[in-house]
Amino acid sequence: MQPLDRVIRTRRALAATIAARAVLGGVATVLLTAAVLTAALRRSGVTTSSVVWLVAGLAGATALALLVRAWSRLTVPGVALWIEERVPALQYALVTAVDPAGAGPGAPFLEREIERVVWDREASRAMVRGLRWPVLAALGGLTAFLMSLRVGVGAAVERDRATPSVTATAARDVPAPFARLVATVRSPAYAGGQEVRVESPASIAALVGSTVVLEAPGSSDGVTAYVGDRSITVQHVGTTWRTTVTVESRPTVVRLRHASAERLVALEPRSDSVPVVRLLAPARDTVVRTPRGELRLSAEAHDDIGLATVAFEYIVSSGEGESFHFRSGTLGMRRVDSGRELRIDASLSLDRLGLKPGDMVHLRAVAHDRNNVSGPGAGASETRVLRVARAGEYDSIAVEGAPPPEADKSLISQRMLIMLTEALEKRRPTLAHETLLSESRQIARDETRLRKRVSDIIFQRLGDNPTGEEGREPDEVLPADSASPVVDSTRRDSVRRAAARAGRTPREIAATDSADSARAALLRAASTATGRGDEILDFAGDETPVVAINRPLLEAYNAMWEASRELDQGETGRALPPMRRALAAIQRARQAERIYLRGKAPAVVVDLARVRLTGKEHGAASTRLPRPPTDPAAARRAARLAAAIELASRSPAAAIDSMVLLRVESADAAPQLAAALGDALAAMRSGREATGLLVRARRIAEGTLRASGQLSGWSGVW
Amino acid sequence: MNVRARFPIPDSLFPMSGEFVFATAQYESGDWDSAPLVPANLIDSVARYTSLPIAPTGAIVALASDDLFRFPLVYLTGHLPVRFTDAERTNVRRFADRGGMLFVDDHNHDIDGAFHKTAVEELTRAVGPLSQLPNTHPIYSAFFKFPDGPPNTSHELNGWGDNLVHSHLLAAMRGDRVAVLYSNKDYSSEWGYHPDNKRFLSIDNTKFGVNIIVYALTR
Amino acid sequence: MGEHALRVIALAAIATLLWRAVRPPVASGVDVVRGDLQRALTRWTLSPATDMRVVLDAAPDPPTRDWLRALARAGGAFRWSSSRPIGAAAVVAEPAAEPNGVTRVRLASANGEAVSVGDDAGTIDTLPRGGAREMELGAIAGAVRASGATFTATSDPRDSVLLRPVLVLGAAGWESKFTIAALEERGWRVASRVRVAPKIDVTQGLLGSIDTARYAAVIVLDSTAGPSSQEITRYARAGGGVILGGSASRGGAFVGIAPGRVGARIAGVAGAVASAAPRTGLGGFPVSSPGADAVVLESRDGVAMIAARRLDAGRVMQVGYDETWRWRMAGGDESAAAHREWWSRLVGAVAYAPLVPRGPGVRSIDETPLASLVAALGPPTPLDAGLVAHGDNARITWMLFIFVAACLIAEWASRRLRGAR
Repeated sequence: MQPLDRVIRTRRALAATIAARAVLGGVATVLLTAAVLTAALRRSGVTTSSVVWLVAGLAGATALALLVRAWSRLTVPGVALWIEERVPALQYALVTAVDPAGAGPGAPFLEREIERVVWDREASRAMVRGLRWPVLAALGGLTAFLMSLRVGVGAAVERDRATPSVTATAARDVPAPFARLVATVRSPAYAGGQEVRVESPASIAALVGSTVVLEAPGSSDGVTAYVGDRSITVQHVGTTWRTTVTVESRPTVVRLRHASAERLVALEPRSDSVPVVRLLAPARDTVVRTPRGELRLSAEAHDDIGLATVAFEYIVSSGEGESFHFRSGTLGMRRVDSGRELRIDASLSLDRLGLKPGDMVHLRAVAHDRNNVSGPGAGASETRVLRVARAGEYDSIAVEGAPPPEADKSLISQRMLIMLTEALEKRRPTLAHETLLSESRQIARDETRLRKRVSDIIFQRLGDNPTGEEGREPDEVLPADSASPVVDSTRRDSVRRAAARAGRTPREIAATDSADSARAALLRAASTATGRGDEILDFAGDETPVVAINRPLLEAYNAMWEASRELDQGETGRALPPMRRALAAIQRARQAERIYLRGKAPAVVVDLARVRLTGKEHGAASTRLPRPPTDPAAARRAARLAAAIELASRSPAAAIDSMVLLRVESADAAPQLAAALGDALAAMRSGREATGLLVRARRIAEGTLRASGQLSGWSGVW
Repeated sequence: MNVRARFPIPDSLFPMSGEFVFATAQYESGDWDSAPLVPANLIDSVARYTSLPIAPTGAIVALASDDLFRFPLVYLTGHLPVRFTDAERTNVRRFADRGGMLFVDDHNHDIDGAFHKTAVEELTRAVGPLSQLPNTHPIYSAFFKFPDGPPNTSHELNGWGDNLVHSHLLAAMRGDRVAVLYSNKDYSSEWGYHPDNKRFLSIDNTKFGVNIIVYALTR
Repeated sequence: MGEHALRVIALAAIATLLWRAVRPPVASGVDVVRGDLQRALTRWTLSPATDMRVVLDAAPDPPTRDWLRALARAGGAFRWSSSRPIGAAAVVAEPAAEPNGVTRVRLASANGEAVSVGDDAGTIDTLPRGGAREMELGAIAGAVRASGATFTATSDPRDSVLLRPVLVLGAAGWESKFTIAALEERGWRVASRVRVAPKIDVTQGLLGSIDTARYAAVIVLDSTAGPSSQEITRYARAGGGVILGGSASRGGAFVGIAPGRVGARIAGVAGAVASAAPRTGLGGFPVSSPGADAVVLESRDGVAMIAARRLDAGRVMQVGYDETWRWRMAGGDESAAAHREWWSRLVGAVAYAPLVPRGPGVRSIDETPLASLVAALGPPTPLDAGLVAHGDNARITWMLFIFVAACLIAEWASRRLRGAR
């Protein structure tokens, strides 16, 4: 091919490249212009219109015309020069070869020179490079345009819950008297009092207690305003009219009316959440053997608006059984001037709490926020429990539901024992002696168990072995020979001591003696306290601390001894007076501090067959009142929504108003529906496709769509 | 006293369908097992006066466990402060919303006592505010008639606790249904005796417990 | 190579256009219409043709169908064909026997084409491949429409139902408590008698004789209603709806009317009440040996748990589950609502609910478009080549033209970009 032909071929390719660049540049210009205009118009509440495309088209055509001007420079020498610039190896041979004036005898030489250089590929690469930026520009324009479609209509960016957010409506959809309505929303003072001002508001979401001022230019004549059914004042201020409303805890709609025009503004309350508090230390419940030292406390609190105070709270529980007393307090309190987060640390002195074995300390952190509209919200952390182990106790981390131990029996109260004894005494004339003795001894065993419980309490207070009770075991059966002597307590002590010494080391004997001395001392103290003792009193006059604290219980203890003795002999009549004395003493002790001498009870299996319908009294028939439907308004809401959707094709503005009202009314009873309607309304106001969102809202309003994939042989869906 | 959740209660413990099982709540913070005889006593009473199918023993169910929903009436008592864990609080809320009834009794019989203050606070957080139950509420006529409202306990009359006779019970409602019934009359002490000892009483003091159970089963 | 291919494709498209232009016309004297029928129908009405042929690509709406029928019977030969298979479909909307104005919609469509179900307010559901569907909808705006590519079927619930209270009989317990609660929460009026002790009942509502003037349905939860079995049987035969729950039939009191016998109790799958199939977690008494006239409505592992039968004018359902309350309590967060819905459907499936006509002003309905078309115009005639080819199907022509132009432009651009002429 001749150089000239090759240059002409390259020229055609260049022309196509220039055309492509112009087209791409024009498209990029159109898209970028449309993106900018769309975003700006949607931001100001105007939906995109054909004007946008007209302007964008003009801009694109201008760009195309400008870019395509390069075509005029596509002469053969110009193209040859373009090639020479990119392929210096040609050394202007190509320009000379295609120049009509430059032809001549040197043409074959020039052709050979030109043939030696491969310049087609370089030219192609240069043309492709020339298309790179226009392609990128077109893609960028497309991206910008797509993003501009996502711009909401007049939405304020919600930075935090304290800042109100207002949705505006398209100006063309608003009736004339309210076309320039402006809303100024101020959050409550405790939340910072921020102010947001928006034109043409459709719905306002703000904290409860926020103030909303709606105003528009013009006279207030003929303008009325309602919140729900309540009329609110409309004032004339300067050249505008104005009405003020406070955001309440329930969603409402503000209706503005003028002649036949109406404007709705929905008020959606945003609730102030309670602070969230986390107890960092202690990290878990604890059991300690000795309550000494400092317990490190640490917590962090967070609030959505602002914290007021953060502190630790503790409750100390002391006691056991059914006798407890409590102390509580706070520590480490910090007041917060501003800020939503705080970490507090403190230490709790266990020494100063004066904890005893069995005591429990409940710990938690509590925070209050600054809400002074609906009351300060209080948030609390999880509670940690610190327990002081009892002496001789091992830690238990699980409670097993074990079956009741076989040998265990329920201990009954002293009062019950008296009643049993009285009943037995009444039946004495009719009972055989053996029967009487057997039953009497059964009561004696119960009495002994109860007496053991009393001694447990007394010994616990001494810090001594709670099983220091002497005497036979409760289940120990006496010899059948009723004439066997019953050894009194003092002599029994001597017998036991003697038996214990046999075959023991001195140390063991000393330990036993010590225990025996304690027991003996208890008996003597009881005798002294009750004035009923024997000659073994070691001291008189000053009472020991044991006596001072436990006088009623010691009295009961002694009386129970006496009663057991009599009952063991079958002397129910002689057992009753000491039993009654014991009861009186227990009552006195209970009045001072509550002690229920019933002992630990096992699980009881009720013999249903035995007791079924044996009650002496009878109940009475009664009437039940019907429950109301769970959500009686659900069907109405579904029907209203269906009607509003049907209305949308005929009157979009009326349909939007209907849905706004429905959304506000659903906010409490059907929050899912309210949210779905919110999405649909936002789409409708901004001119976007809302069909899918309305279908979704409808499905939510109707509840679960019951459907089956086949026709059953029975009516109803399965 | 640190109690962990029990293992799931096997169905084999309560195989009879349709029978009522008296459940006691086990919770982390306090002495949940302070009234071990109350379940048996009330089971005995229900059997004596009604023909309702009932299990002969009670169940113990952890407040934080899913087993809670197997027993639509649960009894909770104690002396010590009540502090629900997050799991217990969530469960109690769900339990009340789905139709369960929680009967809470202050074993101390105190107003302003640690159990009362903390239990009321925790229950309010979980299910909503507690308000006075009118003494004409249907629970007082659900089986036996109590025209004067909740029967007084001997502990109230003996001057226990705060030395007051509490004239009302408190309740958290779901619609017109009692979801949480709260008492600081110490029915736990009043009913905490072996059922066999009823024979010593001239008046059965557990009748109001029957009302509570019949109310829960029929309203 | 690519440019050659584009040229060949363009030439082929041009040839197709040429062939369409020169293909033989239909026989003379035959007036064939396809596409927009309105002008043709008007023309035929004013100037009747002797031989009318209509090619339909979809079932026409009722006014057009009636018009065609009138023309067909006015004299002259009339035949119709379809350019593509018109889907056979049927839709019917009727009020369900449940509170809150529930409407039941049943749809069946053959042909495998996608069907969209909706009303005047928009789409409610879609069936991608047609088939059958039963739906229950809370609120309907206007008529129900089932639309496919070749048909639009419409139906309108023309009646309302008159619902009376439901009577629940049983022993006091969780099942009776929560069954009554579920029905009331769902909007049913409930009368009840639950036994607490001998001769001591908790009652609700006016309890009179059990008949269809008082109750829409009677639910018997256990054997405590045995003494009323004869009265309940009479009630069912007279048109009432009876649900025998759990162990109600065990004592033999209702063996004469129950759809089947009561099998040995089976346990539920542990933990399944909170799953997607909650009733598998419930125990109960299966319906064993269902009668010949019994319809098994639900079964589990091959065992029937719910069955129903018609008994003279009434209906009796046997529900094997005896602790459905566990579903409500131990199911998921939506279990209470699901439990309510389920019980309401059970009752609605047997309830005595006389229909009350709504009165005039019903919208036009077309519940079976193809069947109505065949009934009006007779069966279709096969479509011959002349009919297929006839008519200015401008859209195909335009598409072919645009295709040719696109191929030629692409071929030119390719040549120019590589520098050739």
